[in-house]
Amino acid sequence: MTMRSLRLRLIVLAIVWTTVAIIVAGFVISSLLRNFVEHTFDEALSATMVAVMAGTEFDQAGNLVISNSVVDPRFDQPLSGWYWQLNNAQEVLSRSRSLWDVDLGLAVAEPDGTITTQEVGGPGGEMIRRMARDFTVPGGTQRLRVIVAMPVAVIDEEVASVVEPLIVSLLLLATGLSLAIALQVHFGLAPLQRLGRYLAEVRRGDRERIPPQTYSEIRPIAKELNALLDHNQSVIARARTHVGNLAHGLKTPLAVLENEIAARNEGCNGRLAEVSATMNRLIRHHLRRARSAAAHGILGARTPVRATLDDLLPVFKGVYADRAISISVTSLGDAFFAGDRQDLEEMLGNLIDNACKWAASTVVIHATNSANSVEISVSDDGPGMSKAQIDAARSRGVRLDEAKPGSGLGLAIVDDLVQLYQGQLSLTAGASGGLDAHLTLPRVN
Amino acid sequence: MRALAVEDDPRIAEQLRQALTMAGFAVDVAHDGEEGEFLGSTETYDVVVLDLGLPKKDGLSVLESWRRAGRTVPVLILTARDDWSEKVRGFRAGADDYVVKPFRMEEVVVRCRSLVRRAAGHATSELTCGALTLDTQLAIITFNGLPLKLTAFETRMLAYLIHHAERPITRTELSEHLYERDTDRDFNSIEVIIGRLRRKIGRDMIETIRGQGYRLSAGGGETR
Repeated sequence: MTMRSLRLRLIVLAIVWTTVAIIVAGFVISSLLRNFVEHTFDEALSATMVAVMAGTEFDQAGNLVISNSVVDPRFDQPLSGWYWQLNNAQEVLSRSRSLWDVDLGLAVAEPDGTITTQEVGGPGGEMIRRMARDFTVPGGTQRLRVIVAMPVAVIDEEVASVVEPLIVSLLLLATGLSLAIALQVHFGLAPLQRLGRYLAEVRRGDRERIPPQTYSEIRPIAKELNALLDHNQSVIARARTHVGNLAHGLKTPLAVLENEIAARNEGCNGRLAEVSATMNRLIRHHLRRARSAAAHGILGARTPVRATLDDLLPVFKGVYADRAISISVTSLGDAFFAGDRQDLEEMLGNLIDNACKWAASTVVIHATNSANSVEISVSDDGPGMSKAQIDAARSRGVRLDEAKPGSGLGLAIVDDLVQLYQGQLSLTAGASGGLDAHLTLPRVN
Repeated sequence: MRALAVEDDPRIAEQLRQALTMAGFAVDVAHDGEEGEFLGSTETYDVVVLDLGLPKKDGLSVLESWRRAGRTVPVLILTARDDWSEKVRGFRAGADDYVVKPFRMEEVVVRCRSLVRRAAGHATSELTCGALTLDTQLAIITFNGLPLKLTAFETRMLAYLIHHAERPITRTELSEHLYERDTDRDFNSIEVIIGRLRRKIGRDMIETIRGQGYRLSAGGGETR
C-alpha cells in the first residue's frame, strides 16, 4: 500500500478547482473586453460612415455631389488600414486618400438599413474590420454602398493592453489562493497531527491518556483511543488477577503439604521436601513469567524510579530491622523507567534483597539518567562474588548459600525481566568490596 | 504473649495455632477478614499473623482499617504472591514483616517473636533483666545462666514481664496479654502464678505496686 498524503490530496484538489475557475474567468472577461473594445471602434466607424453618407447628396440636376467631411487624418495615410469608400454598382464614386486607386469591392445590394460587419483581408495585406451599408440618397434613384474599415491590429493591440495586466493579476490571484489553501489545509489538519503526537507520547510512555480534544470531529476519536487504552489496561489487570488467584490457589495447599512433611519424621522426608520445593519453584517461576509477558508491551507505561524505591525501602527496613542495615539512595534528576511498575519493583526488589542479605552494614542505591536509558546500581559491602559464582548465580534456581533464606530465583528473575525490556544487568566487584549490580533499562524521554 | 492468626485455610490455620501455641503464645484464630478485623480491633494482641487472601474482607483492607483506628500491634502478613508489589502494598498498608506462602511454621514463629521484641523496643534478641535472660528466638528463660523450669503459662507471663521490664504492669494488662479469648480471666490466678514465679526467681524481682499491679526490675533482687 503506497503512502498517500491527505494534505496533498486536499491541496491538489483545491488548486485544480481554482485553476479551472480562474481560466474560465480569464476567457470570459477577455472576451467581454474584446466585445467592448470592438464596440467602441464600431461606434467610431459608424460615425465615419454617417459622415460619408451625410456628405453625399444629389443636386437639383440630379447629379451626385460628394463633399468629403471625414477629417480623421488616419484616413489620409496610404494603406493605413483605415479606409472608406462610396460606390454604386458600376464604379467607386469617392474614396479615402489612404485607398489611392484600389477599391474594397463594387457589390451593391438592395438597401435594407442593415450594417454588415466582417473581418477580411485588406488591400495592404493586413486584416481589416469593415462595415458596409447600402443606402439611397433622398431624391436619387441610385443604390449606393458606403464601406468603412479599420485595421484589426489596432483592436488587438487595444485588447491586449487591457488583457495582459488582467492575466498577470489572475496569475497572482491563483498563486495567492494556492498559498492560502496550503495554509488552510496545514492549520485545518493540525489537530489531527497533534492527535498523532499525543498517541506517540502515550506509546512512548510520556503520557497516560490522550487529553480531551476541543474539536468535535476529533473528540470521538480521542475518546475511543482512551477507551482502548483503558481496555488494554483492564485486560492486563484481569490477567494479573487470574495469575494471583492461581498462585493463591496452588500455594496454600502446597504450604500445608510442606508443613505436614516437615512435621512427620519419616524416611522419605528429604525427597518429598525436595519435590515440593521444586513444585513451588516452578509455580513461582512460570506465574511470574506469565505475568511479566502479559504486562510487557502495555501502552503508556511510565514508572518513576525514585518513587518506586521509596515504596520498596520500608519493606527492607521492616524485614532486615534486626540487622540494622543502612540503605541509602542517591538519585540525580528524575528518572522514569519506560515499563511496568511491578516489573521495576520486581527487579529492584530482588537486587536490593540480595544486597541486604549479604551486606555487612550498608547498601547503596544510585539512580541516574543517561542519554536514552535509566541506570540503577545497587551495591553492598558484603563479601562479594567471584566470576564463577556470578555465572552460577545467574543460571536458574541456583542458591549460593542454602543457609540464607530465599527461593534461589532472584537473579534469574531479574535476568528474565531485563531481557524482556532489552536492558542490561552487570554484576561486578564493588568499590567497597561487595557486589555491585548495575541495571540499564529503557527510559522515558 | 497473645497472637492472632487470621487465615482462611483450616489446615494452615490449625498448623499456625499449633506452632504458635508451642512457641508460648496464647493464640486466637479467625477464619475470615471480618472476624479477623473484629478480633484485632477489640482484643489486645502482641502480634498478628494476617493472610492477605481472605474471604469477606481482604487482608490489606483489614490491616488498613486497624491502622486507621490507631492499632499499632505488629502485623506479619502471609502472602501467596511472591512479587514485590504485593509486599510494597502490604507495607504501605502498615505491615511490619512478611512471609511468602508456602512457608515453614518455624519461620513464622521466629518472625513473630522478633516482631514482639521489637515492638517492646528491644534491638537484640537476648533480653536481660538482672539475673534473668530471655532468648527471644528460642523462647528459653535462664536464671543465673541456668534454664528455669517453668510451665507454659508461667513462661508466657515471665516473658511478657521481661519484655516490659522496669515498667509497672496492671493486672488487667497482664490478663489481656496472657489469656486466649473466651477463657475466664481472674486476677486470683494471676496472683497465684506471680507467687509461683517469685518462688523460682526470688521474691523481690517482681514488685507489687499497690493499686497498680506489678513491676519486674533488675535491681529488686539484690538491693533488698
